[in-house]
This record gives sequence, structure tokens and C-alpha cells, in this order.
Amino acid sequence: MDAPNAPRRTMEQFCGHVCAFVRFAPDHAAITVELTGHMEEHRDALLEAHPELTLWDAESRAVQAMGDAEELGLWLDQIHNPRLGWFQIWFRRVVWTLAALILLFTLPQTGEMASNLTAPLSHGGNMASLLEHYDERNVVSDFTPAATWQYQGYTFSIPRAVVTHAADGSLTLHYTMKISHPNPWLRGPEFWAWLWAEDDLGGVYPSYGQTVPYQSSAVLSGGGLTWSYPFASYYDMWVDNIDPEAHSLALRFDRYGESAIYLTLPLKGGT
Amino acid sequence: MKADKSLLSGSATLLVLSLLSGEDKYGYQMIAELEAKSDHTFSMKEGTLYPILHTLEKEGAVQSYEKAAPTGRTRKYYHITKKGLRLLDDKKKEWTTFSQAVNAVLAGSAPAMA
Repeated sequence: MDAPNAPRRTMEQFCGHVCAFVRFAPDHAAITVELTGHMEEHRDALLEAHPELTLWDAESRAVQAMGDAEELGLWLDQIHNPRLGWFQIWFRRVVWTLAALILLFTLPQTGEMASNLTAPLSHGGNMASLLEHYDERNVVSDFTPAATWQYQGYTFSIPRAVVTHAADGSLTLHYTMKISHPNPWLRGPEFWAWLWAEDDLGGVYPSYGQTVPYQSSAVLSGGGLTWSYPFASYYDMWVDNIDPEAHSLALRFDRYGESAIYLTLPLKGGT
Repeated sequence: MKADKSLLSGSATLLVLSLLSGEDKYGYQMIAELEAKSDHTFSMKEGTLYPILHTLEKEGAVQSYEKAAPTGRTRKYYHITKKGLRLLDDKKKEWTTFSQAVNAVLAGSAPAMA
């Protein structure tokens, strides 16, 4: 308890005395700011009401009006419980650390997720090799055919087609086929073994499924799945030994009677 | 006439919540208003206000925020929450029951049973 004739204390001393009884040190600054603010308001009100008072007297009265520093400190100590205070501080630290770690580990996956949703163009080995040695090949045309085909929710398109001249004068078509479907579970349909081709002159280019087993030399249309994203899949496809006189080629899949795929593309480029 | 200290401390929470029910206030404003409204009957040690406010804040009955005063000083304002308003209602009922009982005793008759 403060004695009745206790020496005058400054606001700073009063706050220091109060905080000496508050065990939870992280709250000392906030308590000091609040109590100091209160005393300053009181001091200014006193100076306004009693202009004859000196600043020191007004401040002393404001400090005195606050009451017993020890009593106040002990009361505040009960509210600013150090155990709970430290628990909150550490809890916050743990939560922030966990959040940072989660962010750190999920950021790379976010890129993968975005990639899955956007399904960037992915070429397969044949097309990649062709593009790598592009200058060494006799390229007839390199284009993106405009033709698309839709069947049972699937959309078939060809983002890139490259026609090259072979040494024997025939043409070879390399193309990347994209098949998209709004249902992410219906990805990567298996069609490539039965996708055959027919040129505008009537020439047929059979696929694996249409040739006699073990006669792979007769296979002129082929390829396979390159990459499958949730909403789109890419296939690395080719048609070999194309008649150089042909102007267009129809890619067909009609294994079950109807034309599930029927895409026509010009061999000399254009759309 | 100044009120007995123990009488004041028993109703301090009710008085603080009541002061905040009209508008958000800072500490010294509450003390000044309490004195003025009670014609200096309620004159508590000013420091006593803060444990009450901090307890109410901890219980979620009030929330605090800082706002700059025209003088440039930053003041800490207190705002009564919905929980605080419910607590104020409870405290008012408690006070009414208590004061009726006290008045009944003083008048020399037994309090009416609820």
C-alpha cells in the first residue's frame, strides 16, 4: 500500500511499479501505454480546468487519482495470466510455423495442379526428336490443322502436325493429338492401335489393329499416349509412307462401325 | 456524498457496461462521465477501471481498438459486444432484484417472492 504521505511519483514510475507486479512481461508495454494515456488525459483536463496548476502538480494529481500501484498491479496480474499468455504466444507461433511449412510444401504442388488444369501441350518422343533435328529434316509443312472432331463428349484436335519428305520420296506425317473431356476420370482413351489413315487418292495406311500379327512392317499408322492430364491427354502419332501425290489425309477410327474419329488434314500445310 | 467503496466495486461491472452501451469510449472518458453523471457520487480510484475492462475483454464482453484523437494522442477505445449487452441485461436484472430486496428490508417489510 502507498503511504498517505508517499513521495510524488511520475507517470513512468507509477507504471513501472504496476508492471512490477504483472508477471506476464509481454503485456507490460500495452499496460504502460494505456495507463500513461489515461493519466495524460487526466493531467490535460486538470490543466484546462485549473490553469493555475503547474504541469508537475497536475501530473502528480493524475498519478494519485489512479490509486495504489501495487493493488492495481496485483489485480492486473490475475487477469494477464502468464501461463495462458505464454500458451497463446506459443500457440500462435506454432500455427504460423505450420502455415509457413504447409505453404512451403504445397507451393510446388500448386504449380503441378495448375499444370494439370491447363494441360500444357506435351509432345512425345517422336515429335520431340523431330523438333530437335528440325533443320536436318526435309520439312514439307508444319501447321496446326483447324479440323476438330467430337464423339461422346471427347474433343479430338491436332495442336501440331509436321509433314516431312523421306529419302524414298514418300511423306511422313508426325502429329500430336489432343483429346479432352470435361470428366477428369475419362482421360487417356485407348484408340491409337486402331486409328488408321486414308489419303485423298484412296491409299490406305493401316494401324496395328488392322494388320496381321507379327507383320509390323505393314503398320503405316501408329503412335501412343504421351501424357494424360485430368481434362486432356496427348498422343504422339505418325503416318508413314504417304503417297507424295496425296493432298490430304483422313485419320479414322471406326472399329465399332461408326466413325468415332474422322479428322481430315491437308498434307501440304494450311488449315 | 461519496458512495461506499465496497458498494461501488460490487456494481462496477454494471456501470462500465452501461457506460459503453451508448457508444464506444476510452478509459478516462468513462471515469469523467461516471463522475459527472453520478454528480461525483461514484468516484473510484481510476486505476480500478482497467482490471474491470481487461476482465470484460477477456470474457468477450468488450473489444478494444486504437484510434487517434484530434490532439494526436492514440486512445484505446472499448466497444461493447453482443455478449456484453446480454451480460448488461443480466447485471441490470440482478441489480434490480437486489435493490428491491434492500428497499423492502429498509421499508420494514419482507421482499415479495418471485
